[in-house]
Amino acid sequence: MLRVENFVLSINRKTLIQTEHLEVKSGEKALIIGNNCSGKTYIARTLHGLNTKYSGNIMIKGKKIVLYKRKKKTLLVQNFPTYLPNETLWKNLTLPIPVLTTRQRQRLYDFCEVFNMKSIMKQPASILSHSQVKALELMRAVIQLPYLVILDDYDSYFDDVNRAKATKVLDFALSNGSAVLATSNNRLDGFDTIYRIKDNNLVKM
Amino acid sequence: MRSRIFLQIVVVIVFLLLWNILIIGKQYQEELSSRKLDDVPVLLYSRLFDDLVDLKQELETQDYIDHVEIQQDTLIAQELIEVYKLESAFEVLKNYKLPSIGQIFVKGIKFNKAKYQQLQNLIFEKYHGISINYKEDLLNSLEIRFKLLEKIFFIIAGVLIILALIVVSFLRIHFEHHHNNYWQVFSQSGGDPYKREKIFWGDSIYLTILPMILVGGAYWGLQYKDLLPYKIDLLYLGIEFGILIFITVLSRLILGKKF
Repeated sequence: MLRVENFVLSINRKTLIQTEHLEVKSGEKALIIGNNCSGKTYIARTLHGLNTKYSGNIMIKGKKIVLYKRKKKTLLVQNFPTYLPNETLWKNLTLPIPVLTTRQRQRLYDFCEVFNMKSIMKQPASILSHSQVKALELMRAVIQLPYLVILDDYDSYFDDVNRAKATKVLDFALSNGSAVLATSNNRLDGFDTIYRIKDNNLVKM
Repeated sequence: MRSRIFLQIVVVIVFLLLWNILIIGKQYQEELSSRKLDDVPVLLYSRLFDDLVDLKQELETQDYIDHVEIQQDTLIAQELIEVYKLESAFEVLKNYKLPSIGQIFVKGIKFNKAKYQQLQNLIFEKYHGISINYKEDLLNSLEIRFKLLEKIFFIIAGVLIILALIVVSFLRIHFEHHHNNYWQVFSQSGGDPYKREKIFWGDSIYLTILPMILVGGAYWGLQYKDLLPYKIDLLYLGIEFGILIFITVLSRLILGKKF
């Protein structure tokens, strides 16, 4: 699904991250771990197509990422909240979906059940806690079944309990052919492949 | 979101109505002034009665002529005697040949200096025996008034257009900015990145075509029912439509790459 080759990400001519090879296959979960300011968010944004100043190749489903930039074939869940506080939780969940199918509707109900948010679906999203907002964003990304779901700072907004719930939601995307790439400060369980940023190099562990 | 579009449509309609009222107001003022000419006939004098008859026949086909009245010399003499009680001078008057008189009543709204010039040329070229007399001062003062009216019209129209440009563009940009956060979240959450652009142009169609249809429809409806005696030049309606399109393009350019 995702293939990165001979990749060098630089800021002001200084190499931030480089890697010869990174690959996340369809139905696979990969984790990038690194310390603060190691460039995790930067690489997540680059893989999402928000940064084009890099050398090397980023391919999604065999095609260059620039071709996907406007098609949103990757979905990025970032650390800061991306939602409409004055709209209901349901409106926020279905916001990007042009026509909601019955199956998607049912699946969203199931996701909300997992996160114990079914009873507040018609409430304004302003009442949600930070982790609930992230759960909302995760559900919203997964229901669209993009090629790649990118979760930045995954450990910062979910504790172990919520991460277990998130895994259930992510399993839906994985079983439907999507791939998941998360970044984190710490090593987390449940990932098929783990990469680490060390001395500006992204290496497979 | 729809209620904001509705508000903008109302504002556009108000501007279109003001603009069209201004056009009609100008025509009303012009007509009111021109009507003064209806009561002031062009006077003709000639000793050759037949010339006056021929001229009358020729003039009656002209669109600016309402009607022509001719009085024969004998009738004039008789009238003078009756009015001024000159029975004793009847014999004297009989020995003098008085000229016949013609009165040309014009349609004020179609008569102007150029038409008067045309009338003068016709008489000088074909009817040498006819003398013409008219209050040319009235024509001159009307011409000055029309020029002034036109100046006032263009100034008010210009102010209206600038005001429409500022107010409608400002409203459009204001409401778009108001939705920036919505569209940012929409786009970042995976929504169609071109949807905002599509909605902008879709709304633009509502904002330009709907007010034109409503105002144009009201105008033709009034015309059809004979409730509006004035006609608005299609060119003016075209200018109004052009301005609305320009406002849309201007707003889009000011909004820039935010979409």
